Amino acid sequence: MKQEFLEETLQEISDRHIAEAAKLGMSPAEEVFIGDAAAPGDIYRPEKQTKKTDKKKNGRRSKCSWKPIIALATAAAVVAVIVFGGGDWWNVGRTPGESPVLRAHAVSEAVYPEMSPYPMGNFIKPNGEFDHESYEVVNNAWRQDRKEQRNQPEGYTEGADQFAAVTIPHFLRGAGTGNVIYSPLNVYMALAMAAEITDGETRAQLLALLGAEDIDALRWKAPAIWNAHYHRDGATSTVLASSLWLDERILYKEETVKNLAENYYASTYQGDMQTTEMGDALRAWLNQQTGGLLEDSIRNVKFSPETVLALASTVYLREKWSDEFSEKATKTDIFHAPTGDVECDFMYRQLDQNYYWADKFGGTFKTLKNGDCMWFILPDEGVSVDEVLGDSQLTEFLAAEEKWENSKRVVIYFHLPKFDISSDLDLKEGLTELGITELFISGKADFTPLSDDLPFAYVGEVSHAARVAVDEEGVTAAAYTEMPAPGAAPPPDEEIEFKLDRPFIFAITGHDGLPLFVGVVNQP
Amino acid sequence: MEDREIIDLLWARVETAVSALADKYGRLVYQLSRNIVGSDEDASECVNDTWLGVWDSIPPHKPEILRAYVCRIGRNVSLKRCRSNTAAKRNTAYDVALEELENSLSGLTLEEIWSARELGRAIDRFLDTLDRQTRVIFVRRYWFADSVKEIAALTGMSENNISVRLSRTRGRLRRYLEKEGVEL
Repeated sequence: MKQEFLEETLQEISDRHIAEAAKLGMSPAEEVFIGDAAAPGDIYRPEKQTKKTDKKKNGRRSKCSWKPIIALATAAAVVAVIVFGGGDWWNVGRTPGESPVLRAHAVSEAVYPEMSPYPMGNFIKPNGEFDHESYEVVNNAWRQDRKEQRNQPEGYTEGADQFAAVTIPHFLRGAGTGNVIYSPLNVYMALAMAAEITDGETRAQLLALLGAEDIDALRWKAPAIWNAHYHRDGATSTVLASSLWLDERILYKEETVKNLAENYYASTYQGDMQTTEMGDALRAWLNQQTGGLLEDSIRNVKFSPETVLALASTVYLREKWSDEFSEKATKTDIFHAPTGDVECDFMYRQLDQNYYWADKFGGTFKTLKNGDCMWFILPDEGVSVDEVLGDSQLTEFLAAEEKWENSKRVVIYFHLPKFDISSDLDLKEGLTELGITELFISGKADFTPLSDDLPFAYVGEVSHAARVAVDEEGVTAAAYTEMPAPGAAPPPDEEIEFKLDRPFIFAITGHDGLPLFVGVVNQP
Repeated sequence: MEDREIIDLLWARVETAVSALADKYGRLVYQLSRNIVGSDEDASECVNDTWLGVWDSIPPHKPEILRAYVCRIGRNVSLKRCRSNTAAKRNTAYDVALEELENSLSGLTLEEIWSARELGRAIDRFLDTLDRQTRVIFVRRYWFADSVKEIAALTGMSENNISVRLSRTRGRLRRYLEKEGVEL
């Protein structure tokens, strides 16, 4: 090709591309790597700059600051920080005297599916009759979308269920007198992403714990799990969000970043990890994904000077009880905490459903609007929570749920203390005990699928923060329109008082039985 | 000063418009010109010719993006000067950059398939498929003819990082043009 030809060719580069490039090196206000829209259809999108958390809006966490809770609000986050491990990272690729500049930008952003809105609003005709026709149109569209999200290939939960069974007792035991929350699904997605960016023995150990025979199996299971639990219809919301944060000096492999976006709905951001702005951006992302629920824990998420990348994964769930508690029925009563009796508000409702029992515990559930379920497991009198957690019947029960043999349909006088609990777990030690060792050792952790620049990098810490809060149906319940349901089952012939007035275990499970959150309430 | 204000001054034939241009874009145009002509002296003259070119063309023009307009004039003025210096042996940053791009597209018989204009537009469309950072690096290298070292300094990234990114982008461009060429 003649040089003149190529020269003429380059004359056709459009003004916007020239202007964009010309901005490089100009004043910071015109910093090139932040802002502006991307080309349509481009899977790589520039950053929509994350706003800092509005403190007034989210408020500092206190039991009064964000009421009404609207039945159930939960969030969890896993942040795995990966450090360089190979000497003086600060000076790699940096000329002496040069100060870092913020260039946090998204190199790849996940796109979430659209869902039809939940049928909310007024379906009452002017003559006072219920407008079945309009309701059905909205309701059918919503149901159809939900059905499609849940319609995942057979066997997608295999592996993840095993992972939950193994890890739940491991992370919940030993809570002592405090509360503890663990989100198996959240940690599963974080470790799945970790498996995607690692190779060799590091990956093999992760796959073994995740119950995936190979990386290809994980690549079809992870998006199936993600989609089966994705729910955002304007009324309730369940979102598993993930992101990868890379230091700008890392030359990443595009294929892997694409994989993360496509299979794990993970966005990738790159910038200078040494700047406070990059830490701010991560914290803002975490706050945004968790609805501000974890602000207190997220405040402590910081990058050390050796940090080269971080994996962040969140679960956010905001749901309503399918049958709310009446606020009028809520009464103050005593909860027998391990540290002594405390007063708290107990919500009450009479349930007509199955009660389950095992050798050391009894349990029942309360359904949520979108088909998820919250299970309550009460250790028998004289049996501790840790004893139940160490009992294989618990994991068997959580896996079987309503198929559990020892069950009987009864009238349950159900008393549930209102609670708003949170916990911070360091998963590193627990994961090591579960066979994940290479990931934490410099020189052994293999990050070659992500980058060739990280021969000594290793995971320095894995923190897991979670919060679960429940109350009666809040004031917004009035906005819901109930479809009148005809008929009723015959009344059961037995009654049982089920009062969660001593330490208990809860589990929030999806429609497919996978546990999203499990926890121990010692102090409501 | 805002670009809009500079254009207003040019239309009002106020000479401070030129000093405003020099303040805002002097360094950028000088660098661009230096890359093409290869000497400080020639580059300085090209910069002055650029302001003259802008002064002479606005009005009647009213460019939407003044920054790009100024760069285009600066680039054309510099290329013209290069061509007039035929006696001098050229091996400027611009030549090196162009050769690098040319080599990565060798064997594609692009001239047989496309006119320069068509090919240019295809490359412009290709740029839209890139993430912004990669696109900026590519345009700085092949349109502005900045060296890898200069781009590294401007972005705060390592030279190695820039080189590898450029190499990958050239590979992607080649594949993109091959595919586009087949579809023609």
